[in-house]
Amino acid sequence: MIWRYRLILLIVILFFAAIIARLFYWQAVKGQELSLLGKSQYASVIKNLPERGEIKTSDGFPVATNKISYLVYANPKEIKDREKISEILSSKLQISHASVSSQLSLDKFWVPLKSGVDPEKKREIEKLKIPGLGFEKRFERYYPEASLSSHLLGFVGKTETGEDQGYFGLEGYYDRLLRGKEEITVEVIDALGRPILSRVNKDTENTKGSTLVLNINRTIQFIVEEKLKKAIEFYGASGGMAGVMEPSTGNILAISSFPSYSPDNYKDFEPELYKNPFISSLYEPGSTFKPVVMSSALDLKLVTPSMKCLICGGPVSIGGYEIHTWNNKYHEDINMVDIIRYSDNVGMVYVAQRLGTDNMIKYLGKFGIGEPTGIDLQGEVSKPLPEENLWYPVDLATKGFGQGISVTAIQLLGAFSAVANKGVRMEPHVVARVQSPDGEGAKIPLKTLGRTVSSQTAKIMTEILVNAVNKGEASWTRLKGYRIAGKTGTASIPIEGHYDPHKTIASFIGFAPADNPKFALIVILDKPTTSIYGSETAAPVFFDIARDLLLYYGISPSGE
Amino acid sequence: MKKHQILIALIILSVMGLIVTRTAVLNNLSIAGLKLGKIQTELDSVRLENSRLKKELLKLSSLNYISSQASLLGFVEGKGNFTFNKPIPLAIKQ
Repeated sequence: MIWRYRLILLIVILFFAAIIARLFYWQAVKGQELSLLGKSQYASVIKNLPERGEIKTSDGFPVATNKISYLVYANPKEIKDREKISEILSSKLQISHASVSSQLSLDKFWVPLKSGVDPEKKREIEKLKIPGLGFEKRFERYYPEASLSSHLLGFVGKTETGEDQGYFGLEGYYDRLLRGKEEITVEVIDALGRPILSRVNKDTENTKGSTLVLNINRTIQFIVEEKLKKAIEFYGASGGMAGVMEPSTGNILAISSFPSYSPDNYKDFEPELYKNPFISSLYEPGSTFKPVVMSSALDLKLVTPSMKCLICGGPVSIGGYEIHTWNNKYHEDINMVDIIRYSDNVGMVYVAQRLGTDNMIKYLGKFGIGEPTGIDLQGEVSKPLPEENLWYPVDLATKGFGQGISVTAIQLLGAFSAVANKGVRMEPHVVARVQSPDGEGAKIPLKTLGRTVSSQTAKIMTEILVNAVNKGEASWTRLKGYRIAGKTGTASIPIEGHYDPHKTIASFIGFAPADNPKFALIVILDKPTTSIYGSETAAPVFFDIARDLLLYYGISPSGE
Repeated sequence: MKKHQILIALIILSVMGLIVTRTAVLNNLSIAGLKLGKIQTELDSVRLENSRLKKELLKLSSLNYISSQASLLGFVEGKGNFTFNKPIPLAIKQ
């Protein structure tokens, strides 16, 4: 009898041992796999799409922001009548029937049909209750001021993997800060897919990118753009650009250039238009460069304002080249003040020769010529100055009056602003501060790049430039009652080894009010046809903008 | 013996009570999902409306729009300016 009890006990023990072994197998060996399987059944993974940071002008208006749009996608395996559905969708989405049809015939579970669909269109399509069709919410870049400051802003395109990426301008330079973070959250759902518990997630505000607050003044930007656009048409120019900078801080208040493009529809424009010529195009500045050379010579006391030019009685010959004045008028014994007033090329050759190559290179370096300014925009270029041993006498001479040297508009504006700022050169900045999604702001600090000339030299140069405005070629269009320092420029354009005799780059650069400059402004017109001279084209535009800026700042005339 | 019976009865009653409670709580939780779903839909709808209104507001306060409306209303650019205060002269001849 006892052996029966022992047999039953053994069977029970073996039975429970088997159960324990099986439990061990499912809980220890297969545990992780089952856990994942369970999660896929009770949890739904949700992607919080990143919202790109905004770009705001100094008054807090967002010139680049985001709007909600949808990507329409389909599951071809769930679509029965492909022909009919393709017909309906191509009409609703306004895309070709062939593209919809080809996507729906793919052997995939998910195919994109169209992105950038607005919410009203999405609701319209949803009402059709097409099985297998879905919508993915996305954020799309939107520019409320349309193409205002398009070169400054840049645009948002796509990478090879379909992610948003900023190109050119601020969108390109600050892309990493503007991008948000994609966040994955988990939602617990029931057997029918409905949520049971709220999402297990962090604060969704963290998916937003940082916001840029600019130094750009929206009103000034608008004024500059409108007047430049009208001027290009009026003077028959092929393009133009203008920029406004605050000399004491380096803050960029406006930059505009045409021809331009719309960042909303950048694909509809030629890629050559994407780059900002204000920072990316080199040109020979012509007479607007003369104050830089003259300041350098004055600073070293190699010339004084009343010193007379000893070679200005006629054209001068250097290295086989004959250098003339722009109007073939010569003033014997002209002094330095009048060299700038009459924009005398021969006079500037005299100044450049007194300066010498080594001093010229040294001072051009101080003024930032030949190196990038460091402006916070993507795409800045610069052409380095040649080494001293590569300079011929004719190079020194021509650089004296702004030919044979290439600069960008921002370099020249920065150099001129240094004269306005008592000789101190500031780094130009478009962005004032960066605001993180949680509201904390980081101010971009002002940066001094160095002293160009002494404050006394800067003051003397300012008076020379005021005299040039009051009594020079552009005096007919100056603003009476205001002391404005400025210089005209009519630069020849190099073309295949010589200069084009019929086309010029007409410009005017200056700052106002001369005694306490609030702004420095440069206007450049590319190949104007009504007149080739800066005094007759760019100068009136400069003073037209300057008048509005002085009114905007509430600066009353000083009586001069 | 009686003590054992009472204990067993208590355990059985507790277990049954807990089963009923658990069932009630879980039932409530499953219904909460529906409410959550509705709230989520409403939230999405409000966010969408906010986005639309923001876009409209920005368009109406853009300088491009204001300028075009000003032109339609007949406003023109002011050409002159005047000041109330004359600058004080450095010296006056008597």
